[in-house]
Amino acid sequence: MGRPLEQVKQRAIQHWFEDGLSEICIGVYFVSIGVLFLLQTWPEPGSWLAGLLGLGTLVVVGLGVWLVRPLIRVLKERLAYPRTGYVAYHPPARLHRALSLFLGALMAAFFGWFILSYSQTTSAWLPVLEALALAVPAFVIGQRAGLIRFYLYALITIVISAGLSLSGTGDLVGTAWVFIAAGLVMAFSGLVVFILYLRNVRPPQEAPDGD
Amino acid sequence: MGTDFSELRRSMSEVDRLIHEPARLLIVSILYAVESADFLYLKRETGLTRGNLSAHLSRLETAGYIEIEKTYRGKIPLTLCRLAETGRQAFESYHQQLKEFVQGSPLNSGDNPGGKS
Repeated sequence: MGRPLEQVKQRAIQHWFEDGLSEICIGVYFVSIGVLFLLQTWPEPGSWLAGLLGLGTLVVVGLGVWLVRPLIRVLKERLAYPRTGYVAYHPPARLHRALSLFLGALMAAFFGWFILSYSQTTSAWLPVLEALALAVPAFVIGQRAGLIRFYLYALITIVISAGLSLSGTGDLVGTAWVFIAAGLVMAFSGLVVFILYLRNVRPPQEAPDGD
Repeated sequence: MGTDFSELRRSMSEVDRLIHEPARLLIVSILYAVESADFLYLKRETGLTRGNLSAHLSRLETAGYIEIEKTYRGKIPLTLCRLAETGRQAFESYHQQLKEFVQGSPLNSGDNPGGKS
């Protein structure tokens, strides 16, 4: 009986991703960050434009953290919930939350060490480091939801970042392209999923629920 | 050494018949996995008709296993279902009973009276 129950839980997690909306939003967010990173490499360091772009990046990253989730929720309320219904998930268990915090702290410590030991050699591998930060959550989602495309996101992100690092495109430029590539892959894939979702799932045209 | 079939028979006779019905078992399983779910989600996941699902939900609500909240999302009516604590305990107890039954069954004990050796 354990296995069918696990399938029910997994099916509930898949429900969140079956419309592709979260991937579209997060993908566009990543592309925005990548483009801003790329723009920062053009003006002279220390110039007013460099400062402005730096500030703009901070604003976009910060605002994105606040706005992406409500945006996804609004889009789901309008487009997804009327078609496939609404689910509220259990809050993460304490152990799960502690583990997430621990992993986040570990990654932050690793990033900190990387930045402190910054050199020409280490800067070349910055794209790979960024890619890992994007790929690991994608991999975890793929595992929890049982959705292969998230494994592909992780793999594609790692491959692109490794290619960039090995080609010598490290530092901020490489990081920018990692975000742009990962974002484009995710947004495009999410869009395909969304179009298929709209095509295959029609909103029910019946009386109010349960009556 | 044989399987104590009278023990198995007694344990199965005590199983929760409200949850033991396939449609309701599926409904309760889904609600066990989530915080709450609306009627449309349950209908899609169970494959039941609207009337059938309503009937099963009513029975579960009457028994106190689930809570049903009729609300609105904007202007759209919404029926939200969640598993009550009674229902959660009943489901876990049912799960345990079934597990014990399966573990004690001839299939698991190595006895195979009807099959080839």
